[in-house]
Amino acid sequence: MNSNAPPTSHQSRNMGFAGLLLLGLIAVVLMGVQLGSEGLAWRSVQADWTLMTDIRLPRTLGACLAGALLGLAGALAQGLFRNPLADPYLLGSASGASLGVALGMVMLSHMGTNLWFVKVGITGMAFLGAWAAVALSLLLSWGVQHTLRLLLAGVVVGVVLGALASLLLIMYPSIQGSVQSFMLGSTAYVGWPACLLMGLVLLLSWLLAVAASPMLDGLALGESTAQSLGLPVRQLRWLLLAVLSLCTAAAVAQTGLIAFVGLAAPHLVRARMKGVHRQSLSLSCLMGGLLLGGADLLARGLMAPIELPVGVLTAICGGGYLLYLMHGVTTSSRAYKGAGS
Amino acid sequence: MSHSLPTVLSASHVSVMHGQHLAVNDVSLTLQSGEWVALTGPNGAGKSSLLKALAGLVPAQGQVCLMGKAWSAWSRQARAQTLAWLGQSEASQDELTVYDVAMLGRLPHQSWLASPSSQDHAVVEVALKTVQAWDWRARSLGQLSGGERQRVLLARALAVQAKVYLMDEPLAGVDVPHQADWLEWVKCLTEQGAAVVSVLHELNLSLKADQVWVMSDGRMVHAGSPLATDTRQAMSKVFQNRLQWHEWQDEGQTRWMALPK
Repeated sequence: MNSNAPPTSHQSRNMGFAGLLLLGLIAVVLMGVQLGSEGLAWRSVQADWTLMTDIRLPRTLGACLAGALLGLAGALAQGLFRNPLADPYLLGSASGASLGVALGMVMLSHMGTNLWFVKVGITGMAFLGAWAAVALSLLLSWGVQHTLRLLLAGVVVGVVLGALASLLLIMYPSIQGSVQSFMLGSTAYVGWPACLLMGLVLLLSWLLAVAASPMLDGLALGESTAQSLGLPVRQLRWLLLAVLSLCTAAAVAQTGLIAFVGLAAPHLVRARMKGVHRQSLSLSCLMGGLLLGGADLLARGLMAPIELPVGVLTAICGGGYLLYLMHGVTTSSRAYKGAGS
Repeated sequence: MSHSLPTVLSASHVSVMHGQHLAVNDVSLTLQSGEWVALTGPNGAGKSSLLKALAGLVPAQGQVCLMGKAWSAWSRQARAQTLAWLGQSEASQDELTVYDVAMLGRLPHQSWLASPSSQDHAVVEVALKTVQAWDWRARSLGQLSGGERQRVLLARALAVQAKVYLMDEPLAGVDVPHQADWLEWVKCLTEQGAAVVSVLHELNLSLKADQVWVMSDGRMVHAGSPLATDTRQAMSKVFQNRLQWHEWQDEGQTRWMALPK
């Protein structure tokens, strides 16, 4: 490297990493199109054309898009809250979405179908529930100014709305199956309209997140520093929280509660790259897409023709990763203490 | 210090509340161009709160003027170009590189979403070379020791090229050779006309400043030359008379050194 040049080596490494993730995504989509209930079927392309374009392709793309949304939301949450364990659901959106679905199912099964609910649908109820939970967290924390208060409000809202959802399940046992399937997460019913919606939300969210990313860089050096750099911290925090909530609600509404993708994707990215948030946000999108797309493939293929709930798979893999992470953190902190003594 | 130098920062009857606690109580002060002030006092005296109030980072009563203009008359960006802040234990995200961190100091000079200009790169290079961090510019913050991080954060503040620098414990965790370097950088900054206010717990370094401001219980109890007897008395008093003073000669000038007793 030229001694007077800014360091570009990590930028080209990041570009290479993005290229690898993109290749992985393409491979996942190609395999997802071929993967049926009898495993991979490379030779029967002609016969299964409709099946592939109408069911498998939107499903695989939908899994990748939902994963990308969760990856972006996770990276935003960890940057905004300056907490490596923050995930997209930390403001109560998961419990809110579950309650929304439970309410929707109750209305559908017990109050007839000629309601406004029919127009909203289950996905709409999940979306509204997730948004309402975030709004409630913001209301209870009196805005975005105090991060800790906001996190605590998110925990409270999550617990209370989760309890309400459980109460509905006990009161109306007939909805248990549908709500449980939502809570386990599934990409089985993602069609082209859902793909289009998630694609548009992802594009808009990514543009907004990248535009506001200097705030996250500034925030990484502390709230005071971000403010002193002339960044409109309060406004950008509102904007990024709105983007975070939009991404989470859009993904949850279409695929149910997918665990750990939003938490793990930014960590996996950060383990391989260094640089500013503009790059890590984009890479987290790609990583999230690859993780959920890959998990969807495994869920369909591992025990074919029986399909595993993709949320269960991401939870098991994500839990394992989190344990690995904990081990890494403990080891490095031990090493640090050893070096310091 | 000459009194003909222009005032760059002034505060009039500034008070800061932390909940029910009055952290800064009716403080008035002026800071002149080319002046280095060491702000000292016991823990909880209100030093950091005052510094934050001067930087406009916490809500405060009273008036703070930067370059003779009230805070409210400044645009966010112009203010950030004029006043640089270096806070305590700033960095939390380890994957930012040393270069990225220093480049953040150029944010106030850049349009939104614009790439850094060649001038930005040149300024960052000078700032990193000043703190001797240029050789590890591609390393991430996570790979640095506490003192090395502090130097990089200082480079970030230097890259702002501000007229006023407010630094809250800039020497925390910095080893002795780099403390000596820091004194040189501050001297260099003030010679170029910048003003520096630094909260320092290193009392003997405070005594090298042009002015020492002494705080206790939210009040500014003394502001004066480090060579003046009443400055030493004020410092002894706020530190519960637990300081032992020793005289020494520095290039023919009488200086004082404070040790705990």
